[in-house]
Amino acid sequence: MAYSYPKLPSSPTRAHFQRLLWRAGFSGSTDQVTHYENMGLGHAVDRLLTPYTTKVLVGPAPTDGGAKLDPINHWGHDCLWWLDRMVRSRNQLVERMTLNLHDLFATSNDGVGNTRHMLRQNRLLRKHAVGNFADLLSQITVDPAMLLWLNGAESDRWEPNENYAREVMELFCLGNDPNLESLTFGMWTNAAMYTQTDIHEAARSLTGWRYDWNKAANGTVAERENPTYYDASYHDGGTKTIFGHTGRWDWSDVCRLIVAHPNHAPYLAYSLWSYFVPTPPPPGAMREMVGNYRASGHELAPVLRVILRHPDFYATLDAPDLVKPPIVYVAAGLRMTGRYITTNDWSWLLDNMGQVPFYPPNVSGWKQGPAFLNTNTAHAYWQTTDYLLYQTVRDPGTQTPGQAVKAALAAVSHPWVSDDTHAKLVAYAGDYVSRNGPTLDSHDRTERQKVIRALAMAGPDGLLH
Amino acid sequence: MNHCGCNDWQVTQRRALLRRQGQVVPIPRAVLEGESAGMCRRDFLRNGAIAFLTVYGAQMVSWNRIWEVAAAQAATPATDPIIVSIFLDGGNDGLNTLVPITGSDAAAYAAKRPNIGLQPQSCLPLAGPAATPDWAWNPAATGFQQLYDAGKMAVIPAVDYMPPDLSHFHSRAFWQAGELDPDPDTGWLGRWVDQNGAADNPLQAVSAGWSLDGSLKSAGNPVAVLSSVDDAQFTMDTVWQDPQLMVNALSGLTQRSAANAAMAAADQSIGGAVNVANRLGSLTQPTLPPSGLGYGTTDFDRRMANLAWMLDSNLGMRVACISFDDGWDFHDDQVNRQAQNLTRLSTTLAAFQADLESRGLADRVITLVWSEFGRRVEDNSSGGGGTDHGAGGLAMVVGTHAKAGLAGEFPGIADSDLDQWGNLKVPTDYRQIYTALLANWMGTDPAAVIPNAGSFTPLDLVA
Repeated sequence: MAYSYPKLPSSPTRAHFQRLLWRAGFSGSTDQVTHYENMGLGHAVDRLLTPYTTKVLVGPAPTDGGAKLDPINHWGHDCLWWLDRMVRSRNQLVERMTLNLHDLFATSNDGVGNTRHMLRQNRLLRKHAVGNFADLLSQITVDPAMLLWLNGAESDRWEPNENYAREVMELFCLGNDPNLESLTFGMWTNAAMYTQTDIHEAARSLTGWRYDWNKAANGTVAERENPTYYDASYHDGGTKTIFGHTGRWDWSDVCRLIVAHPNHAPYLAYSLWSYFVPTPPPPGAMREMVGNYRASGHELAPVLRVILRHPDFYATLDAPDLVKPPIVYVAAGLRMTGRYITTNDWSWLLDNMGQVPFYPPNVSGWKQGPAFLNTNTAHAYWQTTDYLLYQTVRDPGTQTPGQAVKAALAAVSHPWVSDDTHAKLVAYAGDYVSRNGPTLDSHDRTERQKVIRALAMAGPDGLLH
Repeated sequence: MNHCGCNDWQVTQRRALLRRQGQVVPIPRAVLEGESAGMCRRDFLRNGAIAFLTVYGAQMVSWNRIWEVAAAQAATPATDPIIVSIFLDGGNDGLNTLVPITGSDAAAYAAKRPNIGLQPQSCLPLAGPAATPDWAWNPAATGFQQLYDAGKMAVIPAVDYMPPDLSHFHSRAFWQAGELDPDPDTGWLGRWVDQNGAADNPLQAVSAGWSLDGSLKSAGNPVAVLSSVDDAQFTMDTVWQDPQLMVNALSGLTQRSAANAAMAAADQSIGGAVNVANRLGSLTQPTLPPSGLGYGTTDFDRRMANLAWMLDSNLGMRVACISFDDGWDFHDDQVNRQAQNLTRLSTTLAAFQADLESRGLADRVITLVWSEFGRRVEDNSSGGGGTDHGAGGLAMVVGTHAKAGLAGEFPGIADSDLDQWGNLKVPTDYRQIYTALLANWMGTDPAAVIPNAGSFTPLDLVA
């Protein structure tokens, strides 16, 4: 198969690799950036797209107050369990894509009410995070969390429930925004839009899946994790017509017909792009993503490779334009400060920040980008940073303002700061001396150092990547 | 979907609520408070790590708008009545708070409570305008004695719903909802806000804690969580030499022309948050808690004192909810632990009342103190003595307009008086408190707030 990829930027700088590790993961330490820089940009992208299968997690195992995590039973530990993977995994893109897919297939424990199922779904998303989307769709369609979340387990041939059928088309795979036609340069077409009849026929086809509440409560571990089963007597075996195709379709046919729908590839490509680049994809990128996706039989890697090689991905290195989602901010903050999961504080802090993993606000996921930011959440980003920097700063010794800023940025893995911000940080360091000097004692030097780090991390530049 | 009342479900539902910062109401379930595996609420409070400044409403209201409204409110002298609701989480033992000391109840009390029974002579008498020889306070409840003797407290000795469920979770949800619905969309005070409040002032209904009290959940009009002004401030651990320079520098970073929409959002949100902090900070003139009124130094004292100060700031607040910061679920070692709580609660309550009086607000505020249920009459011997969940808890209404004395019947605790499980046969429905406060204190129609309000005859609580 001949895939088509954008030409890489001709002379990538260190900032290119920082951008790559920020948006295709959860930031990189100075050493990690250097490691990827030594590969060259093309190989660095390929490296991220080729998950390690051994020694995936590096560093100490997560704890809460010294004890092992209990993700199923203990409040917040589901969140910590995943955060830990984001912090420690060598497969950074896999974790970031797992988060993106959690947003795309937004399923909330608010409606599922079963943490076991949520963790199972999380493993499913991770397994296919840079893999085959058609496989993922098939499996998530009958995933116990999804069957509860969108009423698949309550749908039967007598009363087909359209919830999943509608959302799998509208939100997960096909889209219904007429603007997509121009945004995808006609690759997505309004003419091919699914209809209410398609939804109803798909809902009929999806029937047959049941949920055994007794096994969910009292079964073996495997049964509690997945108490769903297929019972043909609940399935509508009649003929249905979906997207113009007629047959005695069942749930697997629905998945197959959806990924074959002409609007699917452009919709998915457009959606995936938006997680990495806030400006719309240009025609060439759309063509390459859609072409590669179809040619590969619905593989995600050839789509992601287009995005991660594309000049637009590296277009705003001097003025980042993507807001760090709260989960990304916390996981990256832990990496920047060299910390691991040792406390449950991150769970309620993320709640304050407005993004708790496993609890998207509704089936359309989190509103991304600037929507994450308001006065409440901005304060919460700051408060979280207070926790991130807790007891991490020692007396740096005597420093000029410039040295203090340089040391502070290095200590937190060089978050992006604009020239203007950099000048203001130096000014702060100088003002600190004029207000509290002329000589600074050990506390003052430590305080000044800590504040510079906080301003770099939780100031306006630090919320962007 | 058919959920059972298992732990996973409770934790899940609670978590779902916690998530809903500043998002669209209605919020589905009244499960904010409570103890369960891993729910470290007290730790949050003790660490001072409390949620702050969170607005819940049908739509987001800008802080500028909120403060415009608040400023307008503050400009006009307020006379409207106010309800403050204090929740004792865990099921306070009423019988060891207010002890029967005469007649068959005193004898039954001594017989049924060999482990935790209090000696009548050590208890505190009920004197003042509503003096009664039949009851005495737990020796630790000095603040209750002070309020009662001053004629500022009505006590409802046995209040619950029928049939009693004995579940923390259900009982709390029912009390907060004002109806026997374990899955309520709104709380009773939230519905009052929907009926009688404003569309643009979330400070009209405030949870003085770390998240929204279920009683305040509204369907339309906004309500807020505001634990204290301090919590809106931009602080950082160990930064005490020059925190103002830090805040100024943070604000300064946002003052530029943004290069793109994301940067503009970052600049505006941080700049706005600093602005909110500064505005709130500029209001913080007094030292809280004020000295000389009897406040202690705990987080509960701080939150209560903040509440009094905010009421004084005339921000349009009409209803406020606050939870005591320690639990009351004493299955064992009850005597010592309850005494500690009663000392703190009653002292702070008396200090709060004194605070309101010193601010000239006392005639506008009634404070309701409630717990989700009472305890089993017969005690157990666990860890020196404790009690299991029971029916018929004790509630109190405090204020210069509280009708001093006991309200509602006491069903008695002799064997023949109790139900088959040894619990009080509850004579008073908790909604009889609500209808009384809504009609006779707030002056609003209870029928608009409490389902079947007509069947809950208001108790005589308001003077």
